[in-house]
Amino acid sequence: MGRMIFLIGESLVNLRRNALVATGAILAVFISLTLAFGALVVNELLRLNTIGWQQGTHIIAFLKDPDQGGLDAASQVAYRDEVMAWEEVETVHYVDKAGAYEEFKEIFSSRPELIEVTDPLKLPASLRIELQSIDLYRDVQFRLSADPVVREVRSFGEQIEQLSTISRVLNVLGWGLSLVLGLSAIILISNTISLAIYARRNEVSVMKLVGASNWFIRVPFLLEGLIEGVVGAVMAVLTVWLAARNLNSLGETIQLITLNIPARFFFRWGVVLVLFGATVGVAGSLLGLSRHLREVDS
Amino acid sequence: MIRLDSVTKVYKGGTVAARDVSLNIRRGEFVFLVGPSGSGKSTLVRLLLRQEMVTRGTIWVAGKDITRLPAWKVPYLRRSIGTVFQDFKLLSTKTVSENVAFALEVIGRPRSAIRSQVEQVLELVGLEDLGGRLPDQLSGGEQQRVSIARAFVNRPLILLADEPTGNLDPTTSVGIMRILDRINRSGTTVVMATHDHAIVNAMRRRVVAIDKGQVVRDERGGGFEKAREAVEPNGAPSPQQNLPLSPDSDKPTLPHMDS
Repeated sequence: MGRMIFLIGESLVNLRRNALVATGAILAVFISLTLAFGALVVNELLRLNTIGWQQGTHIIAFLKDPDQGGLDAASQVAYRDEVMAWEEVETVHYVDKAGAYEEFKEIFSSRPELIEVTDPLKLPASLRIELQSIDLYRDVQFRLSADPVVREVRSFGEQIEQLSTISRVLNVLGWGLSLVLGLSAIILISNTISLAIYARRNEVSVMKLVGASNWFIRVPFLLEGLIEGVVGAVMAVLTVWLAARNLNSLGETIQLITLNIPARFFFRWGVVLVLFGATVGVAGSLLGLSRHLREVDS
Repeated sequence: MIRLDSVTKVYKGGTVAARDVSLNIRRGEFVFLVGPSGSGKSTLVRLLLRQEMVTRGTIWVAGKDITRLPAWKVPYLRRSIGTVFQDFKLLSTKTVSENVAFALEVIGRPRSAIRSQVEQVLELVGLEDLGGRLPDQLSGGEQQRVSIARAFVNRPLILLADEPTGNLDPTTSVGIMRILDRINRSGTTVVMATHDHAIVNAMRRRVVAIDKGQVVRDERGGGFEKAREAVEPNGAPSPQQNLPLSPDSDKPTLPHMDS
């Protein structure tokens, strides 16, 4: 216990002596992980929104009425089962004319005059289709359009595809920048440790002379890197979490999209990022130690 | 306690610092390593500490062949060897007590044991009242006492001193030698590399003279001047050869080493 207190004390002394350089290393970890976590959050937002839109519906197929050459209600249900059997399709929800009218009333609840003039029988029944993968939307859209019982096919595939592209670009950019900045963080931490070793070369030399074990000499420097990595990561997690909370309150005024990311997401990825920060810190320390500790006399 | 068998050390660039050195130092002995600058004294000290590796030969310390010691065991070797240097190697940001305690902290001694051991050893070197001072608030002699206290606090089997009086005036050097003598009398083997004629001549202990990396004289109860004679066989013997330092000389006497 006493030994651990001694080692932690030595690490804190290191940090205090190299406060400026240590701050630089912490900021490097902070910026890189903020970018990475930010990219993750944006990605999650896009995922939540693309899934959330239309309750997961990727395609809506409006069906013809029987008098237009379409199917009667019972056959429409059978047709739903037929579409459900397609391998590209995950689920199909059948909305009959009455359901369509209820939905219409809900959507246009602020415009009662429109509801009043709309004939419930004029609204078509529809199939709300969720696909196994959004990439399959073109095939399914084509098959449905070719079917004479289908009046019109609307797909959210294009919009979702565009958002997916944006998401992918953001991911690549975010992770790419994070990687580059993460490497800079490792190098910065390594330099911090090198400076710490230089500043404490007399102590290290005396430690070696009086028989301190190699690990005993290394641990304060490893702890220093660890602290820098963890502090930077915690700052990044807190920053992104606070930003997302502000976005969430903004989202309350924007009805169309959700900006509410579950706490579970932040907890899970927060832990991962702090562990990553710790790893970056220790890796930087080890690099610095391997480069400079041997140079200290004895 | 220490045995060197045909030890040769050649540095990069071809400088031979030790050439076929064989030496046997028994437990409790006090040995002076003397010789001119660059003769190889400090290299021998570094070899004993495993700060350098031998090029050829074997070194035994406390029954262990340290030339074959794996790197991770070197710290354990150093725990059995106290070291004192000309430049003291004290930590300027730590007090006297902290400097001494540092040697025990880094090897994981419990705090309670550290406190009592530090107090005892500071008393031994006569610094019991200066424990709270920083090194730069002390004289050179006091700093060297702290260095000795740190080297001895762990009660090592061997104490290696490389020019411990090199930076000190003659009077202060006497005080340092008294402490080293007391430590030696407690059973610790002391090996001291020095240039100090007066001290070697006054102490009359075993003298190992080295020149150009070779042992040129190994004499019990010897003096420094005789070593010079051996190193420079054609040189005239010094008038002070084998004589204890007199009160009239430019160096003080060491009248009662155990006082």
